[in-house]
Amino acid sequence: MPQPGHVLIREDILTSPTSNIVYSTLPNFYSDLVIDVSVKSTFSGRTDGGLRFNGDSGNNYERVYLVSGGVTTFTTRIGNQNGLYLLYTPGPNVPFTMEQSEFNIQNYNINGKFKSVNSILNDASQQSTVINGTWKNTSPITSITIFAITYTFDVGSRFRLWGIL
Amino acid sequence: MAVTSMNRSTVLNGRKYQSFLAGNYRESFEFIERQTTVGTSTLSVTFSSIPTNYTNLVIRYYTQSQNEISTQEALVLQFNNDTANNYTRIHFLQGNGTTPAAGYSGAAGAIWGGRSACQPSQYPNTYGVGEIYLFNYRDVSKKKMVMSYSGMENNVGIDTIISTGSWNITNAINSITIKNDSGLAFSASCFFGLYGVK
Repeated sequence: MPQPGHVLIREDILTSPTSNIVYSTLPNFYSDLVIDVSVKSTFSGRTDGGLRFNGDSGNNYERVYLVSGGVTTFTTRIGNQNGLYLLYTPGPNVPFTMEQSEFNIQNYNINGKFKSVNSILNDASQQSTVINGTWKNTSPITSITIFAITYTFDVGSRFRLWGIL
Repeated sequence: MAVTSMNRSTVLNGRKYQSFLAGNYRESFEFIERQTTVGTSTLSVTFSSIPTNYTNLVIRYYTQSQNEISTQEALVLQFNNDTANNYTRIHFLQGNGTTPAAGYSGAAGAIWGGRSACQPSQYPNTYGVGEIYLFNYRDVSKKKMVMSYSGMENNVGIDTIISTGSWNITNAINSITIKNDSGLAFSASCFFGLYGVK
C-alpha cells in the first residue's frame, strides 16, 4: 500500500494576534519537514519574521535570497543573523492580502551537519522571493519557532507543519 | 509501523476516513523510495523501479560532492540511461547574494537539477538542498519537463536558484540517474527521496 508522503503534523489558525508559533515536540521519524504559512501582521506596513531552531537566538543563521519586485530583481546574502528571516508580512494597509510561503527543511533530524532551508515566498501584491538559508548548528532540530519581530501575526493567519517520509 | 500514540486531529474538513491518518495527509503525494549515501564512493544514485500510476514525480535531496576545487557544482539527471545530447540542460534565474543572473544552456547529455555543495574538507557540514519536479513522466506523446528550486549557503558557495529544462524524448521515464556534474562521488549522508504525485 502506498505510504502518504506528506503528513500533516499540526495546523494553527489564529483567533487572536500571536507573536510566536512554537513546535516544541517534533517527531523524529520523518526525512524532512515542510511548513506552509498564510500570514498577515498587525503592523501597518510590512514586517519581517522567520524561523528559529531549538530556541537558538544567537547569530547562527545566514541566508541568500533572490527577489522579483515585478520591475527589478535583486539578490542579497546576509550572514550572522539571530534567526532565519524568511517572512515579509503585509499588514492591514494591504487589504485582502496574505503572504504565502513554504519552508522546506531537509534532513532536520541529522546529527553532525548544518541544516538548510529552501523556501519560496509569494506576496502577489509586491514581490516573489526564493531564499536558501542555513542554521550553522549540527544538532538535530527538535523545536521550531515561527516569529514575527516587533508586531504580531494577525487573526486568520494559518500555519501548517508537515512531515515528509 | 506500530501506532504508538494518538491525538485528536485538528483538521476539520467534514470528510470521513478509514485510515488512522484520518485526513492528515496530502492524499496525492506518496512516498516511493529514499536512498542515502554511505561512505564517499557513490558516483550516482538511480531510481529504477518507478511506479507508473502517478502523474508527476518529485525528488527531494540533500547533497554534497567530493569536489574540492569548485565552490559548488550542478546536480544533474539522466533518464532511461540516455547519455546522448537529448536534454535541454537549463533555463535559470539565480541569486548569489551579489548579482542576479539569468541564463540558458542548450543541448547536453544531462539535465540540471540543482546544487551540490563542494569542498567537503573545508565545509564538511554544508549540503545543497532542493526539490525537483518531473511532469507527465509517463506521457509518451510529450517531451519531459523538469523544474527545480534549490540552494546552498556557506562562505564560498552561495546560491538560490530556480530552473527548468527538458528531456527532448517522448518515451516514458522508467529510470532516473542522479549524479554530480563533475562525475565525482557524493559525500556520505546525502539523501534522495522520490515521491509520486497523483
